[in-house]
Amino acid sequence: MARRGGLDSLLLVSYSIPIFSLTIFLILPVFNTLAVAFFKEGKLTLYWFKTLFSGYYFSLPKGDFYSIERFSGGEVIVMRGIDLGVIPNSIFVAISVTLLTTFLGTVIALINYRYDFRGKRLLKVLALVPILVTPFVSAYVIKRIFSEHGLLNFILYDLLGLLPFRIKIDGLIGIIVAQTMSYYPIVYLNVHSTLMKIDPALEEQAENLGAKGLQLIKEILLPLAFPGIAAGAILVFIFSLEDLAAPIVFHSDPLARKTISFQIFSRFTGQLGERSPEIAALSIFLLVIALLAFVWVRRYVGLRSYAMLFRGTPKAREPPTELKLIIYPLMFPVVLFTTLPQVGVFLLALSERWTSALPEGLTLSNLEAISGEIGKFVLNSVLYSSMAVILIVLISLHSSYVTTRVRSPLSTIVETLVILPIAVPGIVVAVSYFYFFSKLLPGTAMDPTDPLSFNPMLLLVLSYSMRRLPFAARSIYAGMQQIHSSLEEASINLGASKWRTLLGITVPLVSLNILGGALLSFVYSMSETSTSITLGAINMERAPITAYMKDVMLSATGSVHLAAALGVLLILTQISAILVVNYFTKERFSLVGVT
Amino acid sequence: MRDQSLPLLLLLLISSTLGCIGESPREEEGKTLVILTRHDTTIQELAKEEFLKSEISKKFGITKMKFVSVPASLWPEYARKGRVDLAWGGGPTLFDNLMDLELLAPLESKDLLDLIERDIPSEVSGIPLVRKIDGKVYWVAAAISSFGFTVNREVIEKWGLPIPRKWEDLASEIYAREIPLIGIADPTRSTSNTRIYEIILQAMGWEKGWKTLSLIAANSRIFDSSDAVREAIISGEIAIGTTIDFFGYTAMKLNPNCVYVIPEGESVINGDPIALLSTSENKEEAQAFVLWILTEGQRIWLDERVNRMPVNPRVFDSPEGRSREDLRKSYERTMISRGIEFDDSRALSIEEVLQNYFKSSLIDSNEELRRAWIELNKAKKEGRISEEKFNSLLDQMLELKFRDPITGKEVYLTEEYARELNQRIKEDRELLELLKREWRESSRRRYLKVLEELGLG
Repeated sequence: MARRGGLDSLLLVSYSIPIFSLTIFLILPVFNTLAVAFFKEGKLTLYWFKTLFSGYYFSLPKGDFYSIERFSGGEVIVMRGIDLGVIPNSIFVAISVTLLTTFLGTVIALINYRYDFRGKRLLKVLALVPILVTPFVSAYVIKRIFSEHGLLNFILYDLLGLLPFRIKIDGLIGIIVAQTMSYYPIVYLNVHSTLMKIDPALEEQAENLGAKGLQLIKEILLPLAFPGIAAGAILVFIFSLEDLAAPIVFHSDPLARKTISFQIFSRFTGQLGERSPEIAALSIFLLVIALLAFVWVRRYVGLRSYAMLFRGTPKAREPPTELKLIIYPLMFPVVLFTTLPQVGVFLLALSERWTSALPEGLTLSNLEAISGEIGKFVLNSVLYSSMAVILIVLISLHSSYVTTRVRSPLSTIVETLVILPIAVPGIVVAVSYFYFFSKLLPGTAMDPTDPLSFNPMLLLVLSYSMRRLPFAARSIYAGMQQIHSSLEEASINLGASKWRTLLGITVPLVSLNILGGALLSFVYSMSETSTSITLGAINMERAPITAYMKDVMLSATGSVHLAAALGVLLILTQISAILVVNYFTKERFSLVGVT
Repeated sequence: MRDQSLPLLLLLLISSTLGCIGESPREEEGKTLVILTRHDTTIQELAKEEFLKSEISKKFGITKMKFVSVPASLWPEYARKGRVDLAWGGGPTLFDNLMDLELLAPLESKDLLDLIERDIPSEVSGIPLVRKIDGKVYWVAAAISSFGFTVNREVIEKWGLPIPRKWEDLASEIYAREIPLIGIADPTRSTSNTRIYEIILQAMGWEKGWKTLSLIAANSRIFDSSDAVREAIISGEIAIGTTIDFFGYTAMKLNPNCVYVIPEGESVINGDPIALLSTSENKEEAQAFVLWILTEGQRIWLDERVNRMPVNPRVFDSPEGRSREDLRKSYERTMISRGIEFDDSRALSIEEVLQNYFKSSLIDSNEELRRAWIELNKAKKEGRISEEKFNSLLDQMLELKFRDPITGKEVYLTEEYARELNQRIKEDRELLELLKREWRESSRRRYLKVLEELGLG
């Protein structure tokens, strides 16, 4: 009886936590805001959804993939992409980014897993750098890299003379490149953690049976790593659709504006605070596309079984010469290139100006200038992000438990619910929280319209925990999927309760996934902007660092260099978090070890 | 029991934190002033520090100040809630919107009204610095700014382009390029750019004005905010950008290749207002702050970290004022430079239509507009179309025609009709939504039609 009681309470709790928290802190506020999409002249209607099928949102391909601009110094090839209308533009970008990141992330993970080579540790570290995002400043740096007189042209055209013309990357192509650079680590981390849990005996058996090289990778490793690849790819796909950072970088190009996320950002609220029903309909449309893609991938992956009974240490070997020819001249430069936005943040912070290809005037004055009050903002961010991570792990653990252990429609709902947050644009969450909580809890610390009582901490912790939940949720889900239920059954047969089995067997087995997921969620919470700069800035005393960065950048004598100095601090805090986790996992020298 | 305790613990945690982490209790010995603001924290901190030290704050028993920095679109919500006393900074458009929503209260303090009457110029070249309706003062400028272009000389030389001298120069076909080199900002996000477009419309007349604005938009990279324009000039992404004066000065400091230019005979000035909210429960104390900001408080604009032009020139007689000879000179230059005579009430009567028509037909459809304009010029240059054909296609492309979403009839956006619509959309936000959609789609169709006629459909 006791065991049955344990089973019931575990399932009850594991279903309740994700369902209740997501319903109260995401679905209700967001639905409350987006409901305007269903009304016209006070009557229920689908009118605003029909407006999405106009030429602006869907059109025949227009424009040239590239164009040429001439000036006294030569020719510039401008690459922007073709206009298909707002909705197909975003889907085109998301598919391209998903394919590119999946390829890059999987190749790096496979090579790291299977081979030992000089510089492997460096490659692992470099491949993680792009997750250290610094809002506002990275955008500036990316532009400095891709402009016609930027760093890329300086290297390829001016310095090496590899190109006969300059290139300028802008519009949709710019978004694709920028997103690929920042999102491939998501695929890489997911694939890596999946590979680490493959029973090496499977690989050895395949080798004994004569499988080698590419054949082994294609027929054994790739299928076994598939849950990780799919988990990473679907995260990237939805993330790309929702992402605003890259469209903001290139938003002065009209084609970059013609993406779903930018349209929502730019047109969601009118000057008098009214919400646009057309844009609310577009937000719902975005949610539906993201969820359909997710359900489709889930169904595809769900058909296969990958659970492992045994785990061992994988045997890494010397790569064959032809592979070395790929690793050194190709993979290293590509990975190094993807770290440029972060390297650029340091360069900006340490320079007086960056108006030509390279920054000029080495100085410490930017770092000195921000040293005054900064501690407060960093501490606020660390506190809010840490609290959010606790909630995230709690929700993810329970949701992953039921979705991997119980086959029922309710499990499917929970699995879909936890991925939902990345399909809700930040601006929608910010506006939803603002109106929902000011009406629900007026005059309390959660009422943003009451400046005397409001403390942004609670709403920010909740918004971070919702917005960054999918990272940990998918990571823990992938981990649990690989643990064979017979391990848990053995524990239960020996008399342990379901709770004890979860805490004593399952959690330790997925601890690397938990830490990896928690770390990603933490790092992305630290750099969250949408809710931070709206809700967080209401009370600057308790504002997170991103809100302060925006303030510094916009002030009359402020500059991107000062914001970059703050960005350096943000990056250092994120790195410290990674190192702390690394320390506790006893893999001090291998950053990737944590996942 | 441990099993069930987890969710309970969580609930307990949430409810207890909710209870105890609210800000400190409201009732203290002194009064707290709450101010909605678009000014940055440097200005906020300076104001707080100086004001709380002042005699006037002591006289009114004000011991605390709180600033609320939220996007302009959320201001009405705060004003309605009644927890905020003042609104400060953000440009006249924002304050006029609040006034239309009846969220501003007229200033009543005698000392304050006397001071405004005596020391604050009520207008400069028709641009109001004091908003008076039926003799009542609804807002008063606390600082002034001029607008112009900031030019990055290095970039302009690299591309071999001329430095523009007047606003209309920005509409020239010289700047029609695959890589646009002019930067402007979205008027629904930038009150300073709104004012620039209003000036152009008044100076050139409605139809020619819109043609000019359309071609400026076709030549430009359009940014979501005026500070993004500033960053783009500094970094050299664009060669010319419309900016407010102090953004121009910052650009010059950060990149010596930049220079701030006031267009010849077309200077544009704006007041940056402060106003009392109608829902304030501390009206006397709030007006004491306004009085302070217009007198002693003017010194905060002179701070090296702020660099703004004060609205009350008497501050230049103070010791702090005498040490900022540079700002005094630029103040005098701004006040005497001959500007276009501006009819403010005329601008106000079409303001929201201007902002939204601009956004829908020139920004949302900018991809099509830009392509049509570039191809049209290319066709003329290559001799594929005559000058006459060029002009007729251009007129067709920029026609102010659209389908009225209510009647379904084809109509022209005349200034008179714009005035009527401006009135209607203030009450009917859904109509505005329908109009925006119609303006976007009809302009797209016109731009694509031109491309079709050039054989590029």
